[in-house]
Amino acid sequence: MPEKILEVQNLKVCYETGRGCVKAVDDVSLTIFEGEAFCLVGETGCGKSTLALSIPRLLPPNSRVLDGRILFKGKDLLRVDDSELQRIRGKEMAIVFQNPMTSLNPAYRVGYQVAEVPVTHLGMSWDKALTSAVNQLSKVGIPDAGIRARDYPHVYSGGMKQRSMIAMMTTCKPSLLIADEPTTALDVTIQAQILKLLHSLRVEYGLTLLLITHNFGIVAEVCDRVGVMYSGKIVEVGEVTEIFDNPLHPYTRGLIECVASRRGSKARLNQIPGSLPNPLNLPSGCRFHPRCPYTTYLCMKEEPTMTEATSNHSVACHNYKAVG
Amino acid sequence: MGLLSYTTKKLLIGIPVVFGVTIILFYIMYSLPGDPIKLIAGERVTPERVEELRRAWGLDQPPYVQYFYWLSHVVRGDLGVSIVTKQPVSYLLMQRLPYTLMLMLISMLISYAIGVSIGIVSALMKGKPIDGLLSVTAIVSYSIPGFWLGLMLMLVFGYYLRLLPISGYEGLHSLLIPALSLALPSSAAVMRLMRAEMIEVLNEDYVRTAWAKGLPRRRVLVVHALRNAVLPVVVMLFLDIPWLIGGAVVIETLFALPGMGRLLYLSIIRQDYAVVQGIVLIITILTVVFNTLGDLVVAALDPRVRVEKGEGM
Repeated sequence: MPEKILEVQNLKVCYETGRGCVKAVDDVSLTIFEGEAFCLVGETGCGKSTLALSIPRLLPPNSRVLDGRILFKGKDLLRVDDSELQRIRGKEMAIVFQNPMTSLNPAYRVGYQVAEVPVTHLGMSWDKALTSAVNQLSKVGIPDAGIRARDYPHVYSGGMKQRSMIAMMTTCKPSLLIADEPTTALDVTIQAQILKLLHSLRVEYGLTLLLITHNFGIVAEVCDRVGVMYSGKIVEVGEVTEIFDNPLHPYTRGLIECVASRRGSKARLNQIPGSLPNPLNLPSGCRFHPRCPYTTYLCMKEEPTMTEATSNHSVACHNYKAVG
Repeated sequence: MGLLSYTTKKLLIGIPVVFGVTIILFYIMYSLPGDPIKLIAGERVTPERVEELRRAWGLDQPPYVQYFYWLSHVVRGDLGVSIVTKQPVSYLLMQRLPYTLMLMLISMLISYAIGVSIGIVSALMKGKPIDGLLSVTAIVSYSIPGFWLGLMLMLVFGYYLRLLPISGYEGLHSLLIPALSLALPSSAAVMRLMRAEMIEVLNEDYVRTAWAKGLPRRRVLVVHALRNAVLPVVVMLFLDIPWLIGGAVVIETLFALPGMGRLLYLSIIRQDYAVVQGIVLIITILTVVFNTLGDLVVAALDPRVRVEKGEGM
């Protein structure tokens, strides 16, 4: 059994709004093992980005972590002091964000922004760090990195910006890389390249990847294990082949069926009826029950808990036996 | 287009602005009630003598002739002669300008030092009681008229404490109270802008990236946030300069400082056309120059602007 690298326990995060604190992540537990690629899938607004940002404590100021623990290599990130956290960020744990267009500082050359990381964490001299930044940039596929490192971000394309973000975040060879929808803002062709890049870095550095996405196609390509999130909760976790072949939660099943595939000439895209519930007014019992084709009386009354269906497949559904 | 040709273009555009201002001012002065000749000639003079003087000063000509006469001398570097003191205007200006520039410099230093630092503190303390207190203080000091503040400072430091001279110029320390009266209200505006910009930049994605990289707090705040937040404040600094000159008119008069502002005030009262025209010409030129300088400094600080205006092309 590989070591646990990250363990999220009963995490609850909410956002302050005019109408009270809206829970975005509600009692989520999650374990990620060393070396694996874990995907977190779900619709926009289900809380997956909030979960991702809460791990390196980068949530916006209007958010509040109500409860829970985030154990990274045994240390509770929610309770370490600022200097410890600073040492972990960028060195042992790195994060790549959704929007590369705004994630680089417009006032500094790309090479400089990459070099800052080894200067801070490895005590490298600026000269050395700038050279290593050029190497890192060429490693992530920036052509003529020696010259392009001296460019400012605004002359880079979206794909190059995301590559630079990845370069910056991996110079210190972190053990965990969180990628929060790293390809959502990019062209489809660039998406594939970025995913390939993430995969090759994983192999080379042996890093653990936590990938956040809403795209089941990406899941199939990249991941070892999958967690499916719905309305602030994880509803199903399991190995990727297991999830695809034998989805146990009706929501997961719906998501997989949403991925376009041609079945004969009358191919029609499946969809899940309805939309995410309003977090201020959640349905009783199981949050998915108003949209679920398998709803029973129990679903309306009682919230299902995570149960282990097989040794590497858990699900939170009262009727998973009927679904699977 | 290079940075040099950009600057040249900007300054060339400034030329019609400068002359436009002088033309407008000339007509305003011309249409004001009162007669400078009567002022210099005194009351018991024959009408013939008045006419003679009027011809001697060229004031019998139609206004556009007077203007072009003035203009033709200005382009040759001759600003004319004061009708009151009979001294060359350029001499008067050279005598007075240093005081005004020094007053402006000191007051800008004070105003931006206070405004920028308090603005940053306030932004970092956003929502806390200190932030509220600082913001209220800023609004109050912004609302205080400079001349009233000047009087109060005069009273406290000059009269009660006797630390500084009340009025007149006895050395650089005489400029301290006047500079403070100019600086405090404007520092409040600087503070409000600095605070707003800093708060905005702290919410930017690239600042989150800086945190995510594990950079030390000071580096995130100064190198990544402040560097970007300070840009609009720099722009404001350069756009502020003409307003400071306006403020100098009041403050120099109040404190009896031998600066250009006071000279302007006196010359308007005495209808000393040539001097008023000369001073306004200098102020307009300074405004155009500082605006251009402001653009250049912004271009130096912001690489995105630089591409549009120079380097890249």
